[in-house]
Amino acid sequence: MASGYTKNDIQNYLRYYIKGDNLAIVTNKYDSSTNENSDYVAIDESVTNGIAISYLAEPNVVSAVTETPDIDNTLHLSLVDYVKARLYLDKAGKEDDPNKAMIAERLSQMHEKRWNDAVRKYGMSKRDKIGGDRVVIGQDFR
Amino acid sequence: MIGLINDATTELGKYNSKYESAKTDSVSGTKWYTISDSYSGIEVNKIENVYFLDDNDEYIIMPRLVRGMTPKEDFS
Repeated sequence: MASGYTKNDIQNYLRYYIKGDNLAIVTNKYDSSTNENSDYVAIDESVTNGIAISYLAEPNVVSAVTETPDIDNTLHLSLVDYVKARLYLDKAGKEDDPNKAMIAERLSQMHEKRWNDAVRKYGMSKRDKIGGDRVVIGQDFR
Repeated sequence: MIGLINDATTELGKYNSKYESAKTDSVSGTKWYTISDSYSGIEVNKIENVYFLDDNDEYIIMPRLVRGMTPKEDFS
């Protein structure tokens, strides 16, 4: 069901903002002032599927070790690094022999660094799938 | 082990690993819509864009109000 807002209305009068876990959709269309700082109020349109959002989502939870994680396969090795880093650290804490504990701790640090490099430091620049000529096309949710 | 894997995937979710879109109904007089993982039915880490359906059945991107421009809260 189409709304009563035109394309220009949406671009000129509708705004959104986010506070914590809440998304606010507001308008100043009914305000006589054209001042951008005028008060924003809730919209007065009930539209089925009227709002669409695009967002970065959390990967699905893994419930068995046989499952394939819900992440890009380029990140699977990083996931192994994360798990190994935690397991080696755990082993270092339980080890009676200080030499063995130190080796386990170093291995934990090595895997931690690999994880941080792959995910935090170079994650997007190495893994993004952007290529080809630059063309901007609006998203179509129909 | 599975707990560790899930910790890792939760962490990975912060770094642009999964991109999705969702739709919901707009309700007259309602300003707030939940995007909480527990109540919204979707698991949002970061909202990229918000669109509204226009009179031609097309989704039009909406501008975001920056902090400082957001309306004062009604505590009544």
